[in-house]
Amino acid sequence: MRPERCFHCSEPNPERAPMARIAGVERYFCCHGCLAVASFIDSSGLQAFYQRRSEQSKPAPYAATNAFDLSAYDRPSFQRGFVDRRPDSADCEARLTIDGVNCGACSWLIRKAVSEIEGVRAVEVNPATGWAHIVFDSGQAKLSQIVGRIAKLGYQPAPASEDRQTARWLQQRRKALARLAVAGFGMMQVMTYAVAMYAGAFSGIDANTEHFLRLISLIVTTPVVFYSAVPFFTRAWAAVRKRSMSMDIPVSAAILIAYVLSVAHTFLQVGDVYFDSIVMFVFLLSVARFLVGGLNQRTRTDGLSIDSATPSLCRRFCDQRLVTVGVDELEVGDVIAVDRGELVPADGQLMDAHQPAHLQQAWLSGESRVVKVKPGDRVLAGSRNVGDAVKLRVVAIGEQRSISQIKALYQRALAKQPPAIEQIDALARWFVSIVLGVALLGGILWTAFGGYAKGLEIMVAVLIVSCPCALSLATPAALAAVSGALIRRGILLAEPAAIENLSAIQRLVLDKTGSLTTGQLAVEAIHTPPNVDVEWLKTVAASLEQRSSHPIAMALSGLAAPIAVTAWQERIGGGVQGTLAGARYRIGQPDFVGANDAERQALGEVASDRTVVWVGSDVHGLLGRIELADRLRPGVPSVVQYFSSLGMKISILSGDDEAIVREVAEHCAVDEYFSRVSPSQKLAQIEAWQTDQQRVLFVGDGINDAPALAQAAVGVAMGSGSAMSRSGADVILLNDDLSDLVELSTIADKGRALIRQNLWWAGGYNVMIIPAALAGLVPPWLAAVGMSLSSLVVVLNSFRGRRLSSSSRA
Amino acid sequence: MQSIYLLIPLSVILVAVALGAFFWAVRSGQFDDLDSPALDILDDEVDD
Repeated sequence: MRPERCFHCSEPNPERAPMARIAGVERYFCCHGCLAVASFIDSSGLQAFYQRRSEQSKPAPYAATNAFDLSAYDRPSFQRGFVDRRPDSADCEARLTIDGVNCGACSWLIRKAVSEIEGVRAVEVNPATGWAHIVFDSGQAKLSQIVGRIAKLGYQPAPASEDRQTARWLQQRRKALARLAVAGFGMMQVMTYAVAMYAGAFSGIDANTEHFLRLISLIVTTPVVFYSAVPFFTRAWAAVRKRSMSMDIPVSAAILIAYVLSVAHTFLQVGDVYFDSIVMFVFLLSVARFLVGGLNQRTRTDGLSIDSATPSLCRRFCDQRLVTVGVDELEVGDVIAVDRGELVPADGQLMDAHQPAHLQQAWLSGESRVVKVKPGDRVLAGSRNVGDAVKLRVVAIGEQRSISQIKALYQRALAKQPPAIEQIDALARWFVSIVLGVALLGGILWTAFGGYAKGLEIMVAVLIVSCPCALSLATPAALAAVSGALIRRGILLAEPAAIENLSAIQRLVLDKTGSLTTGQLAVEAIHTPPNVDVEWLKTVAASLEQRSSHPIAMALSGLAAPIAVTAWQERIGGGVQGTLAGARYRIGQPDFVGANDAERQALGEVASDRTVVWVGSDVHGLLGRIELADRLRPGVPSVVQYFSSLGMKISILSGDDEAIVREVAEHCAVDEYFSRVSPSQKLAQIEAWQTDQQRVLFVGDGINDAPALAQAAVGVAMGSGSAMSRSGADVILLNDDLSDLVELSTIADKGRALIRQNLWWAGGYNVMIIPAALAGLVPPWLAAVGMSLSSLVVVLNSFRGRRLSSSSRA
Repeated sequence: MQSIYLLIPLSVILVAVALGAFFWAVRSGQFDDLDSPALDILDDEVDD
């Protein structure tokens, strides 16, 4: 039984899937692109990639990769922005961003393949950021070679643009790591001294030794307080200035009071010191914060994604000759050429063409159809030319392009605050005020009865003990566990807050093309007149469409095993013709094929939402009619039914035509549908719903969905979607399977239950232990220990969450 | 017991050196990617 999914990218395979032997085993692929990539990986001896990868690879680009002359990568003017020359040597360091790197195995694959090129000294690929650093000897290796090899592996490399967001995040992470190290080392040292002092407290200790130990503890604790704990102080100060409450306030208060008290006692040689409590406190809090901080950033890269929708190289006319230049070098008024199968790099005006141009503007409208453009009309950057080569006069570049404006819309939506978890924030603020008040009160009372030392000690104990460390870990720990459970099912949780937001959704909004449907045309039906062999029809269709890059061709070329075709010709607007088995055949529009009305009627009616191609030959007459449609993903109606049963309203927002959207809407039994919706209209509609108290769960995939995904309470992107939609989404369905939405919903329910449990435990512990601390039953060191133990309970409980599934009990 | 007057400060100095090394490692970006090195050890190839 032939496998149904592509070996490389897991997309569904067509009926006659291309086959190749990989590592000696027959494997089947969804298209020749994936086959080419897998063969290259295999022939390079890197098959281990398939064993090691933890996430599926992206489908390889369909048209033969790199029709472009990559030699532009070797030009110094192009290299200026992202290649550094090492002084005194021929070595260069190139910085690239690579789209499609999902996991460590991808990074390994690229590193292995690139380091085999002569002259490459070092390769680093970071899967978390997608950045790559390559050091090479420019005398021996060319950058175009390196970039070409990466592309051959099925990834999309591009020069690293100034992505400040990721750079800033990396800097902050390094600083946090440094602080953590200081706190960690400090903690280990001071705890050791503390052991000695406690032993001394029990069995007697020489006064000088004790003084010495205290001094050393003070010296080691000082950097911990004034370096590692600084973020707590800054945040607390910021909160005080804003006259609001934050959990950092009691934390900072506890640290500072304990420190000052301990320093005083050290120099006065009286009382107790609390250095061990301080360092343990700071370290544990820092670890918690660091782990939580790493959770969010992984897929939230901001500016990068638009670069993958438009190419970085293009061909410009320089006095009648075509020169490959970087897209950044284009200026308004330049004349460029865009070949068949290529992406348009800048907004332009179609110049004198004898025939109209045919473009696919999937990114703008989400449609898979081909649009005809007349000479003089505007052509948008990001469209794909599926017809003959065209000449364009550049009209808008850079930020002025339409696609850049979509990006601006999307960034504005991102900047808006998502619906916050307001309840917990309010609760936290109230709690903090109470804690501060209680601590102060306890301190004053005890000072009155037992002196200032006792009073301060109690106050510190209360502050430490009430530190909502467990409370603040409750949610992140549970969310981390839920993330793990989800990723194992191929659901990437980019924004942990989405778990909470999923509880209050009133409306499910779906994009059509690419989300509800596969986004690609598939053969729905074939009708033939009697005494025509259907298999032969399929063979003719598949053979003729092998060389075309039209979206219809993609669907038809996998229909049957192709045979040789001579005199192949493609007429845009008509179809394709060629000679096979001795006769000339044509496929395409009825007029082009030569089918007359009578023959067409004989084959019956066609549904209005179908795309139709006719096949015929001069000799044998009309062979038949092939109907194609953008197929609905399997399992969609049951997904819609599930969410309906939860009480949600279901809507479809699509850029496609009325007839097509209606067909899908009726099939899925949704509540309402909107057709011919533009990206800004999508955004506006979702905004309108949300202002109307209807929180929206939006599922989309195209670049045109990116602003809407960012705006919705929860945005879900399909795994096969554009990079930009993925970076604006809260959740990404890596398996490209809409029924994962149901998994997400049920696991999110269990996740919220886990969060509640954690919160109850942590809150309950705090509430019970505070009176004990007030009563003087809890010395500061015990307070710190207790705080870490309760955090441990929270974390261990969250571990249960890692095995969550939609079938297990919470 | 006099030895701790020497040994403890010595250990603090050692810790400071260790921290210095750690800072250097962080600054040179060695901790930026914690995922890929995990796979490198699986390599059977005999490299240079």
